[in-house]
This record gives sequence, C-alpha cells and structure tokens, in this order.
Amino acid sequence: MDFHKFDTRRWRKLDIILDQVLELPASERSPRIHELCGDDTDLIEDVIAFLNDTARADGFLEKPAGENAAHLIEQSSRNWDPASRLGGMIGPYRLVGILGEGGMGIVYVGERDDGQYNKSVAIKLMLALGADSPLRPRFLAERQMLAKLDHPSTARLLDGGITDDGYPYIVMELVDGVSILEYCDKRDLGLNARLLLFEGICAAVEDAHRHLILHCDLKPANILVTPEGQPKLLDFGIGRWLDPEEDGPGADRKPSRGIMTLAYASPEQLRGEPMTTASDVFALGVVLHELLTGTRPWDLEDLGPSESATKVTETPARRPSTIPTDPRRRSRLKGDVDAIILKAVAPDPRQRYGSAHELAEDLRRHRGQLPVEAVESSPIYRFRKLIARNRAATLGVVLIMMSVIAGVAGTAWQARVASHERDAARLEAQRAGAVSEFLTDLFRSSDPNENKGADVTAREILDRSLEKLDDLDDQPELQVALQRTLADVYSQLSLYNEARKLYEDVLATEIRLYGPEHYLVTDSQINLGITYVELSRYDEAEAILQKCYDIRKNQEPQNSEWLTVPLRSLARVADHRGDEQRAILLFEEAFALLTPEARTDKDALGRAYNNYASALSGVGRFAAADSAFANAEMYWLEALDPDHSYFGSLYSNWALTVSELGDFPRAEELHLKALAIKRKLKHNKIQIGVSLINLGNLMVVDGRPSEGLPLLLEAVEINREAFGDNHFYTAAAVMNVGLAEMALGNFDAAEKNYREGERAFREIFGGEHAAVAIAHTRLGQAARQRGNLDRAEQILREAIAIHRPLLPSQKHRFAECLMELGEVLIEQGKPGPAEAHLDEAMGIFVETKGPGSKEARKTRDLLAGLAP
Amino acid sequence: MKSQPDVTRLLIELQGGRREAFQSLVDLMYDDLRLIARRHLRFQGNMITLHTSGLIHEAYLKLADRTLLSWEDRGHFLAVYTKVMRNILIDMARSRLALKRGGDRVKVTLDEHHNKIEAQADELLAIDQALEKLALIDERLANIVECRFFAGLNEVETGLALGVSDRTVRRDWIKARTILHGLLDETRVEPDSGN
Repeated sequence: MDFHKFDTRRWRKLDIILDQVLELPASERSPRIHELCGDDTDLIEDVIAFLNDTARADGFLEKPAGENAAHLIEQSSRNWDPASRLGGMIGPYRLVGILGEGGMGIVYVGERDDGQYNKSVAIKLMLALGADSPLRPRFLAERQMLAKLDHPSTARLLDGGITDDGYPYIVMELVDGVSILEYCDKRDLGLNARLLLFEGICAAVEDAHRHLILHCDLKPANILVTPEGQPKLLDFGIGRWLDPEEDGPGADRKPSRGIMTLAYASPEQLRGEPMTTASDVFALGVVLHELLTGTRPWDLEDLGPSESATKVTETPARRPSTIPTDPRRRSRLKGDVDAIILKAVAPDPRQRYGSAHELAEDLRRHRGQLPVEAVESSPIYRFRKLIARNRAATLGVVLIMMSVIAGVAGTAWQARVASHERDAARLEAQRAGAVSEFLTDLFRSSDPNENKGADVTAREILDRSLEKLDDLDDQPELQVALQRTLADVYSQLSLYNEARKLYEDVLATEIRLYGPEHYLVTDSQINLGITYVELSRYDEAEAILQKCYDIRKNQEPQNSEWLTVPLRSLARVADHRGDEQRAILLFEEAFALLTPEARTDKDALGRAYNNYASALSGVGRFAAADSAFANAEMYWLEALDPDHSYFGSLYSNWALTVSELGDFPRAEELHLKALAIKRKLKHNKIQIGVSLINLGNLMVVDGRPSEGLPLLLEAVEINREAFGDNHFYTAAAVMNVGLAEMALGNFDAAEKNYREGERAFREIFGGEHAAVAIAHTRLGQAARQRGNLDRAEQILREAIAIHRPLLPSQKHRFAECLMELGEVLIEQGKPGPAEAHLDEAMGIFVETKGPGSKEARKTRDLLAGLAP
Repeated sequence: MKSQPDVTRLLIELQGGRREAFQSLVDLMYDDLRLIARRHLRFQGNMITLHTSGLIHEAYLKLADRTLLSWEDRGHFLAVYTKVMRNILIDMARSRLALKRGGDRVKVTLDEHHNKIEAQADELLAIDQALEKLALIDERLANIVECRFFAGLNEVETGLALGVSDRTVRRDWIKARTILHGLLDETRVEPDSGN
C-alpha cells in the first residue's frame, strides 16, 4: 500500500485495529477485523492491505545498522591516497605498482633500488595501523612470529618495518602462480595428483600451526601453484589484516569474490568467535571439496556471515560423491573421501580433525588403501585406540579420577555453604571418605605390580568399578554417591553417553532417597543437563536445567549465587544452539536476580562478571571473556581492597584468556599483577607457583629466557616445598628451568636440571617411561651443545635404548632423539651409522608429522649431505 | 574527552525533567561513542562486524560508573545512546558519499570493497530519510526503528528506552518495518545489476 499518502489520522484508526489483530493467528483475524471495523470498508481494506505488506517486510532491517555498515564505520575514520606513494621508497624498496587496496591498507609491488635483489616483492602497507591503533601491537607481535615461518609451500616474509611516517609494513615474496583450482583444472589432474598437491598445503598449514600461527583466510585465491608445480600459501596469519579483494598477482579476480570468501570461513569464524587450528582445518576441507568436485559443501551465495553460520550448522554438507555425474568418479569419492571431507568441515570444531596434519595423514592413508580415521569417529572408539597405543594415558585417567575424588569433598563443602545444611554436610563428608576408599581399592587391584603385569586399561578400571557397585545394594546412599563419582569420571573422559546413563540412574535414585527438591537432586540435574549439551541433546538439556532452575528459584528466589549455575548452564545451551541473544538475555536475568541492595553492591556485580567471564572463556569466546573480566575488575576495584585475593585469581584467569587471544605483552602484564597480589597475600604458595610457571614459560617462548628463568626457579622451590622432590609438578618445573638455561647457553645449569628432572621421573614412574627418555635426550643435547660429542653419543644411545621398548609412546620425541644422534655422528665423521639413524628418524617424522614437515625436511637435508 | 561533571549534571537535569539536557547529552556523548564504536569492530578475514551489544555495554559502563547513573536509569541512557548512534552512522554515510562526489582525486579503480561501502552508505541515508517520513505518520514507530535498527537494541532494551512493554515493542516493530519497507519500496532506485 502507498504509505506516502498516509496521514496521522488515517494511521491512528488503522493502528488501533492492528493492535487487536496482529497477535492473532491468521485464521481468527478476518472475523475480528469485521467485528472491530463494522461497516467502515475503507478501514477494512487498509487493515487487510497492511497485514499483507507485513509478510513482505519480514526480515527487513533484521540486522542492526551498525552490523551492516561496519565497513563504513571502519572506513570513515581513515582516508588515504594509494597513488601518492608510487615511485617513492619504503625501506630499500621502490614502489613500482599497486596490487590492490584493502580495509587495512594498500598492497604495492616493490623493487629493490640497490640492485642487491632484483626480484619483485609484495609490500603490504598497513595504513590503518598508525601509532594510535589499538590493533597495532598485536599486528607487530604477529609479524614477529610470521618471520619464523620457513616452509617451501609458504610465501616467505622477507622483511618488515615501520615507514618514516609511522605505518607498519611487511615485505612478502611475490609469487608467480595461479590458484590451485585453476592449476588442477587447466592440467586436468586426476584425483591422486590433486590429493598430493593438497597434502603439501596441509603440511604448510601444519608448520604454521606449530609456530602458533593461524592462517584465518584459507581459500583457493590464497593457495597458488607455481609453474614448477610448487604450491604456495599466501598471507599467513595476516589474512585477516587485509581485505581479500587484494592478493598477489595470479589471485583470480572473479567479480563475486567478496561473497565467495565467506564460503571458506568456519561457523565459529562467521559468528565472530575466536578461531583455532580447527578453523583452518574447516577451510581446508571446503577447499578440498571444491578441488575434487568443483562445488563447495554449502551454497552460501548471497548470505551474510550469521546466516551462513546458521546454514552451515543446521544443514548437512553436500556429500562429495553425490556431485559428479560420471559414475566412476562418484565411486572414487564414495566412502573414504566423503568421510574425510565431511569430518574436516564438521560444524562443531571438536568433531573435525585435530590438525591439518591429521587431515593430510588420512588422505595419505586413503591413497595407500589403509583404513581412514574419519570413517569411525565415536569418542569411545578413539579413546580405546588411545589407551591401546599409549599406556601412559592410563596414568592420565588415574590422575583424573584422583582429582574427581578430591572434587567430591569440594562439592560437599559447596553444598553446605549453599544450603546451610550442616548435618547433611557431615554425612556427605563421611560419604566422600568412603568413596575415596572404594576407589583407592580399585586402583590397587589395577596396579601393574599387584596385577602381575597385565595391561589394565582405564576403561577396564571403570567397568570393573561399575560391577563392584552392585555389591553395595544394601547401602544405597553410598552406592549412589559412587555412581555419581563414576559418572563424573566418564564425563571427564568425554564418554558422555556412559556418563548420561549413570547420571540418569543417579537422579532417579536420589529423588527416591531424598525427595524431588533436595540439593543433591538439583546438582545432579545440572550435571545431567550439561552432559546432554555435550551429546547435542539440547531439548532434554534445556528441560532438565529449567526444572532445576524452577526448583531452586522456588526455594530461594533471592539467592543469586544459588540460581546462577542453572542459569549459566541454560545460557550455555542457548550458546550451543547459536542463540546468542537468548544466552545474553539469560545472563541478564542472572543480573536481574541481584537484589536491590546487591545491585549497588559492586562486589556482587564484580563476582557476577567474573563468573560470566569464566563461562565465556570456558566455551572459547575469549574476546567476550576479555571484556567481561575488565568489567569484573572495574567493579571490584571500587568495592574491594586492591590487594584482595579475588584479584589474584581474576588476573590469573584473565591472563590465560588474553594469551589465547595472542596478546603476549598484555598477558604478561596481567600475570605480573596476579603474581604481585598472590605474593602479598602469601596464603597459598601453590597458586604463586602456578603463576610463576605460566609467566616464566611465556617469557621463554617470547625469546626472553633470562627474564623467565628466575621465575621458573622460584616455582621449583615452591613446588618442592608443597609437593616434595618426587612429584610430577616439581619435576616438570625443573625441566622447564633446564630449557630456559639451555636457551641462555648455560650448559652446566641446564644439565644439572635435566639430571634432576630425570632422577625424579625415574622415582615417580620407574625407569620405563617416556618422560625419563625425554629428559635423557635433553642431557644428550646439552652435551652436544658444549661440544662433547663422544659423551653426547653415549647419552643419546642410552636414551634410545630406554625409549625404544616403550614405542609408540611419544614417537616423535623418539625420532628427535634419533636425529640428534645422527647429527652427532656426522659431526664425529661417522656417516655410515648416522645414515641408519637418520633413515629411521625420517620414517617416523614422515609418519607422524608429514613428509613436508620441518623435521622431515631437516632430516632429508642431513641425509642429502651424506650422499658421496 | 568531555569532562564527566558535565555529563553527570546533564543526566541529573534530564532525570529532573529538563528536556534540553537530552540534546546536550547527545552532543557530549558523540565523540566518546564514535571512539567506542571503532573499538568494537571485529575483524575476521575480510569481514568486519560491529559487536553491538559489547558497544552498548561499554558505553553504559562508561557513564554508569563515573556518574550517578543507576541501573534504573538505564532507559535514559539507552534513549540518548540511540540518538547518538543514529547521528554517528548518518554522519559517516554522508561524509563517505561526499568523498565520492569530491571528484577524481583518488586514482585507483574503486573495487568491490568500495562499492560495498558506498552501497551501505546509500542504504543508510535512504532509511534515514524514510524514517523522517515515518515520524510524520507516527513518531513512536520512528523511535522504535531508531532503537532496533540504528542502535541495535534488543526488544527488552528498546522497551526500557521508550518506556513501553516488550509486547508493545514487538507489535510496533512489525508495524514500523512494514511502513518503512513500503516507503522505501516506492522511492528506492534499484542499483543497476550490470554495473
């Protein structure tokens, strides 16, 4: 209808009727309209026309202006002229052409003016990152990390700096090539040739991941192949610093590219959540899909980021084998290739390959007709294989079970605080004691020494526990407490289906024993709800969590702490469903629960934000967690003494979140704050140790071992005091000290620490454990570094002898030891024996890290150097 | 940066019913919000999005914690916030298009990235103008659009800002969208698809 002719009076009449009918179901509207309008036919016509238009406007303005116009906001504060710098210099390079302009800056073609290096380069000038840009420190930090990338399939970062007028720039190898799609199609390459090329790309991505660099913008236009057939990845890590419209030459410049790039982004990336290595795996999966079938797994044409994310999450991907028309090509893709690609592009990052390397491995297995991992992917299957491969994992399970036992006592304590039931708490504590005893008994029966060496898996321990529970039929309270504990363990091991069955039983029993509103019942409802979330059974999760919330709300409507946990869990359900709006609303509800006094109570607000931040961090939303931590800090600073113990844990957790965001300088600052507070309070030395190790390792990784060393030394002292010499924590801290000393070139000190670490590991694990072999290898490395080759040879041979019978545990570490020995033998002038060791190392590196890995390449170079 | 006492005083005046304080607050918050908005841009690959709820949150805390604004006054804040956001976005769109008309000083070919930004600017201005017309028909509906679209408020926040119930917001939002869509449909010149 034509609203231009509308005046206020006509609208008023219409508006009154609309208020009465808009919320009615369509079938009831017509009679109501006639009832309300009587014989005013003009009005009836207006109402009906308006209702029709309503449907047409559906979805209009759905997204806020700011989201739609974000490019505009970003652009509006800058203004530059790309041509003005042409012919000028940046560093030693003269700018001779423009490759493109993007959201963050301009990409130029540069040539060296001094004739030293006559190849052209690509220079990316980041004009949006002037001295006042908040993003600038992060970019500079990332640039430093990028310089470490050195892989034949990665376009090299040649240089970088700051221009005279203060903008950062980077100089990249200018790649002569075409996109991988174009390369393969032009040459009409077959399936295996395409897979081989693609595996090379995976190796480059894996190499970067090992340097803690994500690509973030993988797409065919960024994957070029040179005329010699060498694949080259462009724009590592800086992908997201640049607009995709502007890549190096050879990037295909189809008009629809702006839309196309969304097609390779993972759902978490589309939703603006933090990315992980799994996000790059997703993009690789989409590229592979396109490389093999010519189409992508989802048709996202014309969709925006959030719509795309929804579509990817909610609709299944196209199976590659259903796409070709040629039946032979279909059958080549059916089965393995389908499974591999679908696993790579799973909407849930946890369901994808853990790394680009694993993806490449599976492709390699497929080419070699070996069974592929992607075909069977149930967590139980994977867990069993893990146990079978690695007995050390059994130990891990025991550690988890120990921590759960400790947790039983902790839960009891919280329950008492929450519900003021002192007597119940005493009972609970007794029960916790009984639980520990029961489990300790089980461990004894599965201890290899008492078990005559039979290999007991973690699964068997658990299954045996379940059987034993049946013996306790006459003590139902103890039985249910044990069931709950076992359910926790299953859940910790990601065996959610088992955990779910147990929690369901536990809940039923607890309701029978204690009544439907007991705090143990609501606790179990939360556990079960969270387990449902893990199983993606969101309806059931929501129902049970809602029930729990209702019960608790009825009991203590004003107790926000009591209600926050179910609310937060409900928010998590909403979050998993991608319903961010509801998640936020639920959180605000938690806020609204705060009593009027509490709302002005900055301490309570701070606590609420702190909880929120931890929850966000727990689901991987680090950027959001970052700002929530900031809010918590703000409120607490007003309410509490700045040395209050809350700040210690706040800054600690905040620092870890910020590390995840890659902002090392700020993480360091926060660790330091946490440390300062924990030191003043002195009440919990172990906490100080944790901060010291986090901070010390951060500094060593950041290339400042001399600063990290004193912190690590102090951590060793603290752990020693708290746990004694022969504890895993102490020994691990000692090894960290050794690495820092090594980085400083203090060989004596490094050796001393490695020796102490090895001694402790032997004491803890017995002689036959990979940790012992690794510590021994480090000793060999130290001997080699100080030039004592004969001694290095002897130690490394010993390390190999310790490690070999333990294989395949820590296999790649074993190969590192072989390579180290090979190098020592070369330096001693014994090429024959060196070759044998390097050959073996090579086989393991190719198997575990891929043929293009840095380790494999280094070994290959060493072997090549041996050739006469 | 504006001095905080001014903001505090104006807020108190606004709560006391002095309506002129509203526009002064809008002016005072303009620069702050512009800076905050830039901070809440998120870059992912080629995508830039605005983290709307984070922006509101920060803007609110900035005021709430340095002034006497209490949780209950959130409505006042949201109303001011909404006006400022509309002003900011429209100013940005105008200056972007002014740049385009500014002649051929920029030599590079404008690529898709630039076209996209210009299309966004065009669209914002068109909506802004249609909104003026909508205000003539029903001012409350125009306010709803300001809150939901220009400020990115959700239903609850919009209700707070305008002092109406969520349900009313929901109904009025449908009405406002319908009229605005109708107004734009007839005035908008569709861009040439071949260009």
